[in-house]
Amino acid sequence: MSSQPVFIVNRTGPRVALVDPAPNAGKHIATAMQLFDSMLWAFQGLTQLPWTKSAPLNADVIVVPQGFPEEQLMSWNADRKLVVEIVTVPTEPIPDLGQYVLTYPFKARQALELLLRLETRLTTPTDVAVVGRGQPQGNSPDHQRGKWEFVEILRTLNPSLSQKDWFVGQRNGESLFWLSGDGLTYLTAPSTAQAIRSGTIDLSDVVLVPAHGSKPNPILRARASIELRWFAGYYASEQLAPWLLSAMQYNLTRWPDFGAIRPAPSQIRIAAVLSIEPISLSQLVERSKSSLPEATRTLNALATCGALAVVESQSVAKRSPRKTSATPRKGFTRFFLEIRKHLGLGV
Amino acid sequence: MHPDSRRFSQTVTNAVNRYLSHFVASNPAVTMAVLTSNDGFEIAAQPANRASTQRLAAMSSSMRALSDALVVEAGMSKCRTLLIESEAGAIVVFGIANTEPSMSLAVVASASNPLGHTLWACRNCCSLLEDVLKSG
Amino acid sequence: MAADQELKIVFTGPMGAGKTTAIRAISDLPPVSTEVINSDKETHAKSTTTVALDYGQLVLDGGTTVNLYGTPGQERFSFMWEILCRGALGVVLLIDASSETAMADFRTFIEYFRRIRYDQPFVIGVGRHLSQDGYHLEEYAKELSTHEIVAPLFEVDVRHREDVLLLVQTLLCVLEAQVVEASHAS
Repeated sequence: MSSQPVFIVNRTGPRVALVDPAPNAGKHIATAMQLFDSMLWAFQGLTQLPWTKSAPLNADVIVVPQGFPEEQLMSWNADRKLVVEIVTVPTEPIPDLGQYVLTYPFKARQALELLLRLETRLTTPTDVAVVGRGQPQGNSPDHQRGKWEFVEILRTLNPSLSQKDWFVGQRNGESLFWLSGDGLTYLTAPSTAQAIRSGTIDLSDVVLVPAHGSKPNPILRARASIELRWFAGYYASEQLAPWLLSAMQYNLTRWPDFGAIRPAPSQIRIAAVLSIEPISLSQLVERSKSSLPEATRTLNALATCGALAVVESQSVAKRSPRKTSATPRKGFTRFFLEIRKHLGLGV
Repeated sequence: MHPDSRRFSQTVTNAVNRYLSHFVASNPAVTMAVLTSNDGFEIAAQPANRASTQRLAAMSSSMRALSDALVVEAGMSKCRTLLIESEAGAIVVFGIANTEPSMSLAVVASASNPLGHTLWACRNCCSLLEDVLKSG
Repeated sequence: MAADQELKIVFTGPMGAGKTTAIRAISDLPPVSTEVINSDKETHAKSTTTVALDYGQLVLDGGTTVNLYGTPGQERFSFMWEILCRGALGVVLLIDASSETAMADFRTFIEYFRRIRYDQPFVIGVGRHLSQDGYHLEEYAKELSTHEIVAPLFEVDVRHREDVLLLVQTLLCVLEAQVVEASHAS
């Protein structure tokens, strides 16, 4: 697994170094690097922290063009720097390096999303054996952030391990579940799974401990980890997650597996609205006809599952209205009510 | 060629192709004839080696199956023949009786000959095909 | 109701994916099927195959009917796919993950149906995962991402009515969101 990055504590913001491509690297990669450079400048004010450019020696993040010597990348990684590789041809990540990859041509929202992810990685303790101790009390921002510690662990977990390696989710020394190294499945007792699904178990102070070769009990049935992520994000708080801003617009980039999650109808509706076009939280509440707490929790859950993209509201072009299918004679509103009632689907 | 055509001997296959070839040659209105399995595979066709005959095999089997469902829905026993008329001619799909697997003969005919004459010729061809396929 | 105002939901997917089962799970009437004996067991072991369509129906209070169509699964009947999904409220694609050709089938169907109408509500149900110790929906999710398609992709078992209802509910939610967006845009 790649080295853990430097945990930024007292500095104002991350430092980033952009490495120029070799003269014979080709026009496309040079253009790609210039594009990322200009986006860095354009995103000032949109990221959580101010990014400043620096030399690689002092940088927290180093952005390199495709084909950069692997030995240098591994060396920077050993110095606890994060590596972003800009590529023009899709490529497999280097094993054990854990670099981030951005494929040109990339959209502005992809680059912004990457920067936000890097910020989270740099500003959250990623030593998975020690997070979650000493929770602040009360309704202070620190207390709010404390509610998100386990979710942050899930979001920043590096899925580069094999499926056969395991983490153990522990709370107060008690083992609650096993999470596979590739992050896709988890194993737990049915009663614990039910508690996770119903929110009757507080996951905020759960830590993930590497199992160091130990294996879970073979009688435990594998469950999709999307279920763990969804409910951890959903029940963490009624307020927006720290990395989400109510002023931003959000768009669904993928649907979580609702076959594993079995969400409420209102949550499916919220996801559907987010899948159509970028939308802010207030617009989401209005269009999905849901309450603010429900829309907030669902947004948090979707973000925890990696299903959301942040969109710059200025960059969204107005789309032409979609063509729809045949129109019910009595109108769609009546139709949706009747068919849902007929099939017992709930409102 | 459909995998099931291999279950017939070379003699039978040659006979089927000969009958179809003769049928098309002696009925100038007929532009295409396809022996098709009920699940849409072309078993034999004249003219041979055309992509259009494969599509006709698939489409005619769909139409045949819909017709079967329709006659059951109408309380009738079984669809025997399906006839589609257009200004330029007709497409007829005949079930071939007593074959395993079930088959149909799909025929495309222009309007240059009276439809009745074409239907009569098609039924004769079907009888011959039925005899030779039973023996195979 | 005029023919061009027919309300219908289409179930599609390769042979054996569960289309007929899914329709049967929710149809108010016993489905009409156009199944015939499958003569090509080398390609698929199933004893029968749909050559035209499956047909079911929902009869809502107030008399509105919603037709449920199942397409034939094999590519030689692909002419029926376009005919059936024309004007449909949405399409449910079912995939049999236990099939050797599951990923190829998935690619074929998503490319075909996105080409017909890119914004038609489209929901994917993947069933019959063989492995109990791994989660394989990710492969399908990556394939969707490669095609830049954002569509609901769920692991389901269409033998269970609630799984079919989840697919239909999601389809309705996506359609509803499109209708709301269209009304805001106009």
